[in-house]
Amino acid sequence: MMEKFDEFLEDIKKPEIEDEEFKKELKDKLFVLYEKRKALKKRKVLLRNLSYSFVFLLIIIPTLLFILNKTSIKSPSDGNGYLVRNIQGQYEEKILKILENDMLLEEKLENDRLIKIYKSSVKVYEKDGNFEKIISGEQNLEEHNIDSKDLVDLIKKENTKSLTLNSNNIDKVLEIFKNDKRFDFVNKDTIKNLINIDESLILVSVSENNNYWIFLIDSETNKIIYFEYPL
Amino acid sequence: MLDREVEKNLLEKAKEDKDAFGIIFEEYFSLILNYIFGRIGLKEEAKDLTEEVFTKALLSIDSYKDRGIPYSNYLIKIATNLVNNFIKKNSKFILKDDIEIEYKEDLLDIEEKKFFYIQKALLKLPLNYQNILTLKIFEKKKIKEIGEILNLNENTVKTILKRGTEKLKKELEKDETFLKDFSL
Repeated sequence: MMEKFDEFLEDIKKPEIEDEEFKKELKDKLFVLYEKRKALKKRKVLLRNLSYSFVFLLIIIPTLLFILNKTSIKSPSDGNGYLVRNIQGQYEEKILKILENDMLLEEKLENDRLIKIYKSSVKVYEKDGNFEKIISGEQNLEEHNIDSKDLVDLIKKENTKSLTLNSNNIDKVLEIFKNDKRFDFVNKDTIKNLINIDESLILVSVSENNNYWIFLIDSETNKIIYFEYPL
Repeated sequence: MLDREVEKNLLEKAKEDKDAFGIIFEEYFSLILNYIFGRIGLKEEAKDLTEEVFTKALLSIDSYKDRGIPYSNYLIKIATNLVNNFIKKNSKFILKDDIEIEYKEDLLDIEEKKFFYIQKALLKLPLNYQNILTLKIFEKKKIKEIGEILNLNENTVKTILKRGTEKLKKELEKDETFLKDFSL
């Protein structure tokens, strides 16, 4: 019985329908869609390329600039460049700690440029890529017959980080500057802070007419290193 | 039907060249329209669904990968899914004998009448039977091909085909007009 039915089904011929008009219409529609899809594809590729470029600009270029910057600072350019490198090498970490806690400096953070100084230790002494207006240097205190150990010993007695400015230690500090005309602005009134960084290093901050100076007195080498912030 | 190698090349070309896609469309338009029409028996709806099939095919042409089955079967696969959704949504409407409108009764020859009865009876069966029986009876597909189109193994296809044929026969036997025209 089922075999007969199977044969019956095998013989079935499906009637075919045709619609040439619809076929043409549909083909045209599909071609329009094809062009739209192509344009969309192009846009997607463009967007993808743009996002790659964006990532490149956002990550790779700053990284390269950072590396270049590091490299350029490391290479000796002039006397000041050498000094910066020197200070960074020896005192960078300490200076940064001081800067973070120094109220006087924090007050001046409103200045955009100074913010840069704080956030990036590398550029502390750099202004518009040059050092023209920044006075900085180092001098050997022995040349001035000064032994900074005395000062350190004196200040150490106070046993605190931020030292009280008293006539004893101020006088000692002023001795260092008295023979140098460049620093005639350093006096009892302009010295704002004496900070005992460690056993051999003392920081003297000086503020005069909106200029801010930092002197680092290193008793180990008997040297003074100084620089002015471009406020 | 296109030669498999020619078809492969055309499909690759169609990713960038609309004329290549146009050749594929020309080749399979009639096949898909008539497959769908054979499933639902409604010409206008068959045209709408055909449009959907080719739109989907066009939008997925970039990601299409030849997995060893002819593109015609890939299109039938898309069509089957669309038809199944259409039948699910419109089963009551389809079963109202509206399919007869598509044929002019007096012009039907014996072969067409046969087809008409079978189509009507098929629409009363569950979709999985409809899928397999249509591909076998109307499209004359082999068991293996049916399996490829519907993602079923050959044994499952054979089982469903056997049961489906029995169900179809029972359904036809309920139709007195059919029994008048044909004896089983």
